[in-house]
Amino acid sequence: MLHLLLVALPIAMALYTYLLGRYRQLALWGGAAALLLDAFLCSCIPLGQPVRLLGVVLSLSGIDRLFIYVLLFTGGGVLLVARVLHQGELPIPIGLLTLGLAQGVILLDDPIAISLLLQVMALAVALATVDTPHEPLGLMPVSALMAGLKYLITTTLAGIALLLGFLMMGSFLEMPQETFYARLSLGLIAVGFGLALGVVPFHLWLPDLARHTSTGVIGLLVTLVHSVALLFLGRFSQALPRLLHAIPRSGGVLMAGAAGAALAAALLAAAQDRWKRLAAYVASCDVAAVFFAFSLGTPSGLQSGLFLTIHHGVALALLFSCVGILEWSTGRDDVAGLVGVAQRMPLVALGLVIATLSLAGIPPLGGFAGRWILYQEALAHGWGYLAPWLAASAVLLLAMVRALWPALLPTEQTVPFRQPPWPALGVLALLIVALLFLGLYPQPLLRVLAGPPPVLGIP
Amino acid sequence: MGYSSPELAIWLGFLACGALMVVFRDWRVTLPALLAVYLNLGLLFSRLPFVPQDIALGPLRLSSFGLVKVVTGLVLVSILALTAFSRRWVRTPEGEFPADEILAARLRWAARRARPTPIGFRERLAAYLLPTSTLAVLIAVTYTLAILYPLVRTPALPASPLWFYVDLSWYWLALCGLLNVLLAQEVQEVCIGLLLCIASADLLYTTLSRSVGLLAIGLLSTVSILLALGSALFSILFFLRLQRWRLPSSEELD
Repeated sequence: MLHLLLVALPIAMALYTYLLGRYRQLALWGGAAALLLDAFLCSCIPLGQPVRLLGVVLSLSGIDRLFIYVLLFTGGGVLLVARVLHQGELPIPIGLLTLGLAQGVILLDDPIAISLLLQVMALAVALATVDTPHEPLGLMPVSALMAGLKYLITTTLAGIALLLGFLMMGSFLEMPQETFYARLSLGLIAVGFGLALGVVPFHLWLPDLARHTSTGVIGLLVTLVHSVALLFLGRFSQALPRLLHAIPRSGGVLMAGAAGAALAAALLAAAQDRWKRLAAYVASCDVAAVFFAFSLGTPSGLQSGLFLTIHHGVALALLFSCVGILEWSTGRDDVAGLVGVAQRMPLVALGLVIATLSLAGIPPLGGFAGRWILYQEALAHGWGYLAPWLAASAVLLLAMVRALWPALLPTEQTVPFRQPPWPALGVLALLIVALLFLGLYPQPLLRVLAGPPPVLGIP
Repeated sequence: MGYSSPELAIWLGFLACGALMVVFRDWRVTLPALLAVYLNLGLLFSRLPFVPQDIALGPLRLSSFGLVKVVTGLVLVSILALTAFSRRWVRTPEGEFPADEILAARLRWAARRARPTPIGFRERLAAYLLPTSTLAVLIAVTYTLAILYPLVRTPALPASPLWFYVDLSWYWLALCGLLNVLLAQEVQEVCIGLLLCIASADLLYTTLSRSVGLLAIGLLSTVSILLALGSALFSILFFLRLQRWRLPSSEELD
């Protein structure tokens, strides 16, 4: 019963906050109460005791519980920032709905049901992409509508590819001599995850969507939907060796593909002059790192991938919150708009520096702690696998220095400026501390992640 | 393989509906065809041996699972029809907003295409030549794929002509869906294409899993309905935006 309540509570509160959308404070407190109650419910569920409900098996492991807490923390932060920055009525209801479904994904073990739930989550977010209160609905730029439509199409195709991929995997496990099914399954699953997570070359929707939608909505997408999708990928990666064994050289192709995707995303990030698009390319690069870690198919690869998934959510929540505050405060998200930010909004500037350095994998931040294991594993496969990662980190670092440089320039008094609200700054401070903690003291988290890995119901 | 079996009739139904959706663009044609696809899907599900046939309609025995598909189709078509129909009542806002050069050029092109000009029988025939020839290629590709790569007809299933028709149907729906998405000129056409792809995946999933999972059925229907809602929203927003552009006059066109 507790399992069902964990999923149903945020969904019911989503409806409540949607109906109370006009009463801003009530919706905000309702959302906060739902998150706290959800955390309490999660702590009450016994670990490793599966229950059968409506024909499906629901269970919670230590790693699953950790992920639920992280989702509540990052999702809650993004929702609070979106609310205080007046980024529309929909982020809180859609965020709570997504959170409830995300917990369903974590509790379930059937890959088909999980693929479909992920699709439902992504489609729910699509409805919020056009919720921009500063722009009348009928006057939305066509490019913004095209970005939303592109996302709608991509997410549907990704869901179909995942569904078919897992079906083909079932056929392969039934007839292991038929390697055609293994090839088809691996291809469809790789394309499905690539499309859903915006990995280069399947990334075209992500920067456009990030550019045109509010940072609250894109923050929800990367912290909730993408984090849960990556956890799903991690759970699937334990069945991956069976597929890789059936297809010669497929493991190397997957790893090389992920490394190439990361390098390409870093190069594309270096060419951006708008923070939102830059953040989208950085997210794509980070997802490629998680792909690489999971495609190793080893316990340390899994541990590194799960750590990087948690880091992905926290770092991107911080990055998109900073960009959102910057946009709210100065009315622009271009790199030149950062002039004087270090003096006027030191916490926002610090947040940008910490988030970007951590996503580039620079020590002593959380990104490095996760990538260190990945670098060791890559080196074990040969310098050819490590070199793209070092190059990607170097390019990303250069892109960040180029983008952050204007922040240190003296203030232009002519640029209009608003002081950010204190709750948003509080969220930034918490996320900065979390990223520093992940980098300086990752052992407690790594210990939990070294525990029995969450599995999928693949025979 | 029986030549007068109910499966053949269902397959011909799929073929006719897919052909209508590929060749015609008018929502008055494509939406009833989409509904007919879901009706066919419901009938085909009722023919699957592992799906319990628990509803009797005279001589016809159907399954409640198939009925869920029909109801889903009805909801989807209602959403899309309401969206297409409601455009009549969307108010034109006051004032006009200039478009940039590229958009203006696109609008001129669209207006030139939409300009009512007398079309002769030969031109009308030519307009349908490309979709019709594409359709012929599509049917050939469907048959080839179903024979060369039968994903349903595996040694794990008992030999029956039903599986060949299932293979044909899911390949056909998927290819028609992709072609619709590729040739689409409106949001609604994209949505119809994606819905066909989902229906295809639904058919393949049900056949290969050889069971009726309540959660999966519910989620597949939810995905389809959310997709229809999302595309309805975008369709209306596009329409509102396009209404606010200044259309070029006939002098500007010439």
